[in-house]
Parts: sequence; structure tokens; C-alpha cells
Amino acid sequence: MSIYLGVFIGYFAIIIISSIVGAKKVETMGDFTTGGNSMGLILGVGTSVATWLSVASVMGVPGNIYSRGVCAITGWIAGWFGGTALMPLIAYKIRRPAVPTRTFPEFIHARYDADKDVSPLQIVAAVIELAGYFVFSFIQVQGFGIVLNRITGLPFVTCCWLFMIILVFTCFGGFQSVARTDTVNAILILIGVIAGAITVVNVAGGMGAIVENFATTTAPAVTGGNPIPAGSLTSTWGVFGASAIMSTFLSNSLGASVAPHWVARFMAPKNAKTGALQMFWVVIFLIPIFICIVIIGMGGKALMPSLPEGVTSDYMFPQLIINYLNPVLGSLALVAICAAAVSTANSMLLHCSTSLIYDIVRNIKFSGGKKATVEDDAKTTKVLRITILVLGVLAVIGAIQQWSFLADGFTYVYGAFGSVFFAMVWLGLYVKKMNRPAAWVSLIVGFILYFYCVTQGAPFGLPTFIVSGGCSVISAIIVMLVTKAPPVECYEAYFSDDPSEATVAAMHRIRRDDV
Amino acid sequence: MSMFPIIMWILMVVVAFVIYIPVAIKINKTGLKRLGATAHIFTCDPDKDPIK
Repeated sequence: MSIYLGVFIGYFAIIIISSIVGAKKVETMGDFTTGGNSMGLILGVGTSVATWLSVASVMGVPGNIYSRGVCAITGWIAGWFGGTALMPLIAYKIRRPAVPTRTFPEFIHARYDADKDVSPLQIVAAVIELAGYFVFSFIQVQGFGIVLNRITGLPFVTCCWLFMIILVFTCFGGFQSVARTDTVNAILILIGVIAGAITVVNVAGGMGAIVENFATTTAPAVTGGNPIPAGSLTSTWGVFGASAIMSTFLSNSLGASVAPHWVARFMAPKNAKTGALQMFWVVIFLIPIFICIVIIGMGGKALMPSLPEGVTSDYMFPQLIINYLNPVLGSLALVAICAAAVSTANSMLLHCSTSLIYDIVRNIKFSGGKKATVEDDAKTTKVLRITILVLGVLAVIGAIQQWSFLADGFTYVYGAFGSVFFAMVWLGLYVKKMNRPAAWVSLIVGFILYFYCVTQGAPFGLPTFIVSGGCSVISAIIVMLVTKAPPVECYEAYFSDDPSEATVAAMHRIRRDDV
Repeated sequence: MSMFPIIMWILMVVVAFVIYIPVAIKINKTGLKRLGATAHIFTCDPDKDPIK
């Protein structure tokens, strides 16, 4: 216990120091929201790797492999890699304008409502972003609560509140602080999962024994459950079936590619190439980490055939650490889980607060041609920090309810984002004719159909994302073809390297710049 | 054990490479420093020539 606590105290000290260093870099609101559009490659790769490695990946995926088999690799790991593979195409376009937007909803304003002072689409996008990232935030708090509860025996609720304190601390410095702590967290996660995987292989008697057991076991995931058919864990579609796995794959790949926090992240790099390249390197750096995560999931089944009654498979990795890893390696692995929770939750909480304050409140407050002065932006930054605190408290309350499996919760939100925003982002960045009516229709169709498919089931057994995202894109194309083309200032910044003065002026007006 | 999940995973890594290279080449062709056209294709180091 003392080693665990010692390592944790050391971890918290590192996070606090890196947060303070990051916070000192914040001079303007642009620094707070996007790091001043000046982030370099190393920091960009570090923060992006850490953001990918949430508790859904470090705890949820091993738990899913443990309980549902190798099909989870297709649905979650290949899905997330697919999403990351597509991202350079978005990063290049998003970072192309000389005056880039600062948030995802602001991009929606620039692309579809550039001729309007206040954009209803920006506000709706901000509300959706706020709701989705709030779910993400409490999932992370929940993951951290599970880990700390397992190690210390402290009540789960207390553990969640402790997490909130760390989380709020890292968010107070804005994007710079988040990026720096994320980079530290990415390194710790790598060390932690390697420690976990090496120990699991050694204790289980090697990879051959792990695979052999995985292919033949009939032990249920939780004690008292029905035995599973032998071989189901190593089959292509597992207990899910092809439709569910492909739906998960599409949600995690196509859905993730347009997730607002990723689109916003591409506004931070110092130039378009850095934005695109950072995602390529993210794919490379994630490979060894996810190999370790797969080994942990499969090895867990050999070491602990069934989990105790009353726990979900999300508890598998922490349980494995407590039971089988020596305290030094175990504490490193546990820190990896906490680092994953912190690194993702701080980004999510930052997006929640910017959606609410920057995209909704500030957008309306400075309507009618008003410009935000340096003093105004300083006040907004203060309000952003207070909002982070309030949302952190609310996230803890949500986490205490333990509403969903960690990885499943992520898939639902990514699926919803993909259904709603896929056409708006991809067609908006690559088709000049994509316009405001088409954006509205795609958003409404995607939202309604995703909600219907999740609650009632997709028709004909099709993957949910194919139905909701597909219909959203088709409806956008139909509306786009029968309505007028958008004004030039709505698309020029994303299609030309030398936009007109009117377009540049529109971008400044949308940002409420005092120029 | 089914190899399909592993093949899908490897395929996505290949897709990442196949997508990034044309994007980087397109940026290089613009010649614009503000887009990173003069930076190296795999390091973004501005002191090194880009691989055309």
C-alpha cells in the first residue's frame, strides 16, 4: 500500500508541476483555447496519444477482450486506428485558413453561417458538444474512481472527488497545460501497460499458454454467469455478431474522425503539415501500447477466468494488477490508468467549458458587430476556469451513478457525433456546394435516426452508423443539390490558399477579433 | 484464432500511411511556409528540406 501511495503522490506532483508550467504560457484567450495556434510536433503527438488513451482504452478494451473476445480488436482498436488514419485529411483543411477558428462550433459558424453575425448552427453544435463531452468526462471520473477504490479501499465516491481536484487543476491552465500534462501522461501510460503486459505473460506461462486458454475457455466473465461456448472468444464476431461489431467499428472510426475535440485539436498546431503529421505519428506510437493492452485482456482470462460477482469487466485490469503484479510494477500500471483518465478528461472538460462560454455566451454577448477587447477576453478566460470547476463537480455526480460500461459509453457518444457531424465536416471541407440548409438537414436526420436505432434497433439488422450516418449524408447531398450554393466567404478559406479580403474579414468577425 | 481483427488493425495502419503522404505532398506543392510546406515531411523540422 505504501509503495502504491508513494508512486501516486509522485505522479500527482509531476502533473501539478507540468500544469503550472503550461498555465504560465497562457497570455491570451487563444492560448487558453488552442494554445495560440503554435503547438509543435512533439507536444501535438504527446497530447493526441494521451487523448486517445482514455480509461475506455486502458480499462474498457482489456475488459472487453476479456469478456467478449478478439472481436473487440476489430470494433474498438481497429476502429480507433481507422479514425486516426483519416484525420490528416481533416487536419490539413481545418488548419489551412490564415485566420483559423478556435473551436469546433466556431468552425461550423465559419463554414455555414459566415454571412451571419450570430450562428444558430454554432450554438446547436456547442450544445451537442457540451452534452457529449460531459458524458465523456464522467466516464473518465468513473474509471479513476474504480482504480483508486481498488487500491486504497477508500469509498468510490471519495475517489471520484479526489479525481476532480486533479482534473480541475490541469484544466485551469487551458490547452497549453492540458497538452503538457498529456505528454507526460502518454509516457507514463506506455511504461505502465508494458509493465502490465510483461508481468501477465510471465505469470500466465507465456503467450502460447494465453492463446491456448483463450481459445478453449468456457468460464463466464463474471462468477455465476452462464458458461460461454468454447472458441467464442477467438471467433471473428464473438458474441456480438457481424452487424454489431461493424457498427462499433464504423462508430469508432468514422464517428471519431469528426469528433469535435479532434477537429478542434487540429486548430492548435503551428501549421497544417504539423497537424496532419502528428496524427500519422500517433498511429505509430499507439501500436505498442495497444499490443500490450490486447495481451493484458487475453492474459487476464488465463489468470482470472471469472471476475467476482457484482463487478463489470471494466474492473478486470485493476483486479489483475492488485492480484498478480508486484507492487512496483503494479503501481506503474495503476498510474497508467489514472494518467489515461486525467489526460482524456481534462481535454473533455476544457471542451465542455469552451462550448458553453466561448461558443454560446461569448458568441451572443458580442453579437451586433461588437468586438471583444483584450480585457473582455481576459474576463472570458476567468469565466472559462470557473465553468470548468462547476462542470467538474457535475461530472463527479454523473460518475457516481456508474451509468454505463466504459468502452460502450464512448461508442455511443462517438456514434452520435459521427451521425450528426459527419456530413457537416467531411462535405463541408471537401465540397464547395455544401451549404447551410444541407447542414441543418444532415444534423437533424443524423440525430433522429441515431437515437431511433440505439433505442429501437436498426432496420434489417444493419449497423447503426450505416443507417444514421448514411441517411444523414444522403439527405445532405439531396438538399445541397436542390438549393443555392453558399456565399464565397463560407468556403473560400478552406479551399483557397489566397482568400479574398472579404473572407479574411469574415473570419475575424466570427472570432470577434478586435482588429 | 481468427486473424480478421489483426488484419483489420494492420490495414488501418497502412491506411494511415497511404492517406498522410498525399496530404503532405499537396501541402509541399503550395510552397507556403504558413502551411508547413518548407518543413520536413516526417519531422516538420523547418531547417531540413522537405522530401518532394
